[in-house]
Amino acid sequence: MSTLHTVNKPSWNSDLLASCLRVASAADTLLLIEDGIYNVRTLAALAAALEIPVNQLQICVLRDDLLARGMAQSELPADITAVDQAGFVALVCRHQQSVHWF
Amino acid sequence: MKFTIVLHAAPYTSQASLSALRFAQASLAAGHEIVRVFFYYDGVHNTNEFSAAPQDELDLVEAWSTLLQEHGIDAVTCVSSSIKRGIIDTREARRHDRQGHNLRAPAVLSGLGQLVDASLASDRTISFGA
Amino acid sequence: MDTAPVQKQFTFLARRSPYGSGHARAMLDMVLATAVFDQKVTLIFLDDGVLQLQRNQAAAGIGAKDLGAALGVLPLYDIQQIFVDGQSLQLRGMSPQELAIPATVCDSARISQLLHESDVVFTL
Repeated sequence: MSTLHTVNKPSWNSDLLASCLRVASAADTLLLIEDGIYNVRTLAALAAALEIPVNQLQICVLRDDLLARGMAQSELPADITAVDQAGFVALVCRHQQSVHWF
Repeated sequence: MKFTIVLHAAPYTSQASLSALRFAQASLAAGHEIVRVFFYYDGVHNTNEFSAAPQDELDLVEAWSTLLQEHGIDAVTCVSSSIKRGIIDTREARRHDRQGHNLRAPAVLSGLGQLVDASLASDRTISFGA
Repeated sequence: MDTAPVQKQFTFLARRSPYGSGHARAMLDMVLATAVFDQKVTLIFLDDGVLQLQRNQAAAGIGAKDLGAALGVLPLYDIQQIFVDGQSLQLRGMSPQELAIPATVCDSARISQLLHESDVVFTL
């Protein structure tokens, strides 16, 4: 069993991402959407500070939300994948349940 | 697959309404079925017929109504959330003695039971909020 | 036509403080409506949601309905799976011994497991 988590705010504004990382397990996927996109630059540091191993967690960002915010796919860390809207839908299908952190 | 989509946030105040709309469009494009869209909490404002967007901006109330209508998707605006936020149909207007009514079709007013019912009938329930 | 299952596991993550917004109340309404439909309900208080469990709330003074008291109806709806995240309590200086309603203190791993056992998860 695996869960899809969506997070829509940056970690410096809310505890959404920290709590999500804390309860997410290895087979889960984290999809950053809306202002959650801004977490891409600091996610690794946050996870390290919280001593949460995230290397097994699959991390994605919604491409249009990323581009809207002036970031490019080429800037993404190697372990973060961009998905389009169809990819978002596919992620929902691929996981048994989804948890939407907002 | 069958989806239920829950929208908790008002249009324009956050990105949630846009995100939910785009997700709904993408699911339909991928051949999935949307069992019901449930407008809850501030999400009921997405069914306010009295809302009108400037010409150069996407009219979210219009966009939702069009999508729901074109695809024959069942849509419920939570009655307990909506009446206190001023989204009422003809029946509620009569009941509360109000001069107008503004629930945008095809959404209908109903209770949370419709969300439970839709979740039971769906493979996935997806929520958008602010 | 497939027939829909009659019962699913619904899990609710209550993450908001009781009076700062209407979210906590709206979540309770969802929880109760789900229980009325004879569904399996699990309620987890996490992050600011644990503040809903503070004892001795006196919300009449601010013109609000008392949420602590409202949570008292959960057993009447036969909702017994009530969990509270220990770390969230600790961070807010709250003691598990002094909660408005009985809740099982749990850790992240347990919450993770509860989520995996769910069919539908609502966060508010």
